[in-house]
Amino acid sequence: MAFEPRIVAFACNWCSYAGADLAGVSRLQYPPNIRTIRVMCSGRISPGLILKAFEKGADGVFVSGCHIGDCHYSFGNRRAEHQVEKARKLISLLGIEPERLKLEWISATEGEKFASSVTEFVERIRKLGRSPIKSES
Amino acid sequence: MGEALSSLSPKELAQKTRAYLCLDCSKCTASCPLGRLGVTYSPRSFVQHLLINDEGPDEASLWRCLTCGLCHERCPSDVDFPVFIRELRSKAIEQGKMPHPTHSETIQEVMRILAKPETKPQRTSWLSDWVPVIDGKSGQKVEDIYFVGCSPYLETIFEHFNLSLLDTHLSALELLRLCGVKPYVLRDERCCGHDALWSGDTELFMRLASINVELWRSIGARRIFVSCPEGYHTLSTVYPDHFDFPFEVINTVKFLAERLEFQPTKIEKVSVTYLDSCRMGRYGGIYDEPRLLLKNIAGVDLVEMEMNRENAPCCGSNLWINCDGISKKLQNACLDQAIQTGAGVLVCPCDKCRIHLACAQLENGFLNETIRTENILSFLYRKGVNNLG
Repeated sequence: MAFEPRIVAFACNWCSYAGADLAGVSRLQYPPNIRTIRVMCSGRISPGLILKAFEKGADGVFVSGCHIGDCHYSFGNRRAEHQVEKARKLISLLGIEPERLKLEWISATEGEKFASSVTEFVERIRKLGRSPIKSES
Repeated sequence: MGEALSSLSPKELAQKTRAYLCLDCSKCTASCPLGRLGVTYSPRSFVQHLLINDEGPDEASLWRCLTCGLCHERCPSDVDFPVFIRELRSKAIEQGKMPHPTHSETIQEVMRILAKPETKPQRTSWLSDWVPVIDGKSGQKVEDIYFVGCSPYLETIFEHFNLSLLDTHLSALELLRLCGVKPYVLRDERCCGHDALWSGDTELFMRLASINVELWRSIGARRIFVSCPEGYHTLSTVYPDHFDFPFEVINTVKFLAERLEFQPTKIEKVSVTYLDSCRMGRYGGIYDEPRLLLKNIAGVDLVEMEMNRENAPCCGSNLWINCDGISKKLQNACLDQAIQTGAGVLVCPCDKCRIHLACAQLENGFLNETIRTENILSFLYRKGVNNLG
């Protein structure tokens, strides 16, 4: 069977999740490879959660939050930036390509951006292939 | 002890860990670092209640123990309370219970990913050019291996503490080279599994350990040099209980103490104090070697903390579980003792102790002021060999 990437997408409640919603109601097409998890703020994402997604079999992890300056909690997305960078270094040490982790700022009005960045990310992971820490079966 | 023990009932476990020989003297309760800070923690009554009531262990106490080993050290009947706790935890995990992980489970996740046979870690880029790196499946045979352990991951997670955790291993390798040993670093080595084992995840520990043992076998390793006290304890005393283990595990500090000689050079005087971390001291019995090495450096004045050697204070946290205000109190108490010696540097063999102490320092707002922590191996190389300030 052809390889279909499994991707975990974290989306913040205030911006990106609403952006995903907008993509839906605007009937924009994007690949069905993402499993979206709503979090109250992208700052809630820690390296532990990202690693857990990979450990449980994700081929890629997509983290999205409000644009810098727009965070509902002032500085949550700044924190997300640090946490995602830390996670990127950790997955590299563990032999997982750093490109399998992506951070994107998507506002509630950017349904199109949500659809296009997810499409782009799914294609990227499709090219990279199965996660190196997953067995063939 | 380990695999077989976790299948025992509390009563059989009590027999194995000599808990039935308890004299009711309560030295353990009086010694426990938790008790000293106003938390009631009594190993004696914990075991007693468990054996009398048959209700299973009190969960808060089960995860609370620091496994620092001070009660075992002082127990007149030699009751091994830390192992008792370790095996009860293993049972609890089998029943689906969990301790509260710190750092949002990041370190546990690193261990779980490393326990997958497919994982190919890429964590040797920081090594000096001269250090030979070997691939486990290359078919090449080498005798001497240097075990790095989890430092590359911890350095990434705690980079904001500026502790230079990788300096420990760079220095250790340089010092070993001065003694004529050039061990290989194994690229696909896993972490030793110490934290999984002691927090009760025996299954995860066994997965990590069997990958390591298999790798060492396939490259024909004979000697394994370990600098981390936890790694040394695990490799030298726990692995042999579970596997056919034809390897000689060597503690770097102990090895250097027998061989390393420093050139007497003019050096500005520096006053240091030494923290006997639990796995190095109470578990490993290595007290004199690090002191000997420190005293051999010209200009170094070693001052002891009020509690030292077998009685050394606990760094307050262990296994990346259950860190709270009490852990901070313990860390501050440990730092206070070090500061009271008037020393400028707290030399410690365990980088995890340094992480925990730095965490308290950062919270107090004076990281790197008043007293600075340094790993013994980095200190020996920097002061003893390179003569740097």
